[in-house]
Amino acid sequence: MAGSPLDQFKLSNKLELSVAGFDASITNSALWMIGVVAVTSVGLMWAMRRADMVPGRSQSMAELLYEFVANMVKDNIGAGGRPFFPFIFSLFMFILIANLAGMVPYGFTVTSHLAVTMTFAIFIFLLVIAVGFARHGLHFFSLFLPPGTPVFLMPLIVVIEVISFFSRPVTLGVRLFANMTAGHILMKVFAGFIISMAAAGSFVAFLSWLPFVANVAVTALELLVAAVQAYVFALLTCVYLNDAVNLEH
Amino acid sequence: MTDQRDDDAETAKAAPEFADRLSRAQARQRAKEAKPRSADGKAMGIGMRLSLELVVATTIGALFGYAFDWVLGTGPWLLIVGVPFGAAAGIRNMLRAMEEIDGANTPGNDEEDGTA
Repeated sequence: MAGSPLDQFKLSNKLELSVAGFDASITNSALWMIGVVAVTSVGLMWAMRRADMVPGRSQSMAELLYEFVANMVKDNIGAGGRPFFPFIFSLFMFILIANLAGMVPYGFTVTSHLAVTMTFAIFIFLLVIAVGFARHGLHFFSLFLPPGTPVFLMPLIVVIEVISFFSRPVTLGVRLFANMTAGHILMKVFAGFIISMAAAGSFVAFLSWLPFVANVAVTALELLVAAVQAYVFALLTCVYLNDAVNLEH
Repeated sequence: MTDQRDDDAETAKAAPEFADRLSRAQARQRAKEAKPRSADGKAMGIGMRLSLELVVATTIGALFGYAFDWVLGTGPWLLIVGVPFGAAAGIRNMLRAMEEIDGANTPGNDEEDGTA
């Protein structure tokens, strides 16, 4: 059972599948993603099975999540953000539940794979560009030129803004991936310390409760990180979409 | 609720030192609640976020320079130019991220941000 702290991120094929010559096998990652979508949709539908005027416990939880995301969209994008609410709500719920599913013992953290987080980030990046050009046409390029730039600085600022724009999807994807991966490795390393210190015997074994206490604290911190990272991802999606929807100059 | 109050008052009368201990315990609890435990985690998160902005933008700048060098065959020159541009973009991203974080911490200046 000991193994490397990186073993938890290994992919394994659960169902060999080939579509038009491409390897489309269902991996453990894909299985967990399907599970996360199922849990999210069934859970929310179950919570709203009987929409009462005075909400019960499950219904108020669903409504709190809805209002939380609705307010985030309203505050960051404004009225023009309404069409994007379903997308951002789905995104937030998927990442939140996927992060929390990773905290379940023997669970697999879908968001600890760069392939998954970058797929989201690149999709959002392309969505921002598509929305920007659809709403503002070629005027969207003025995003790269902040108003009030002195003429002699323009060539420099444009290059800097373009690099800044292209760094957005990378920071978005890497942040979620790095936070989830680092936290889970930390937990596994501390857990390994407990076993190996206890097995070492004598005085060292007596101290093996220290990494255990640390691991309890790290678990609490990881639950916080799971929620905060889902929030940050959704929030930055709103901020980036705001640039495309409400081009300010 | 009123029963609870009466109970407290009675206990205070019966055991004066209890009211004293209770108020001290409440003061300690309030002091603990004033500084949330997540403050350190939050600061670490902000630090991680800002450093990531700088690293990623610098890398993107270098990659852009390298890619244009590769296409145009201009030796290492665009790579050399790309890195400082990337670093400048990274600092710009950091400042922007800091503005967002500040804006989130002080409610009520949304309008100011909207017009800026």
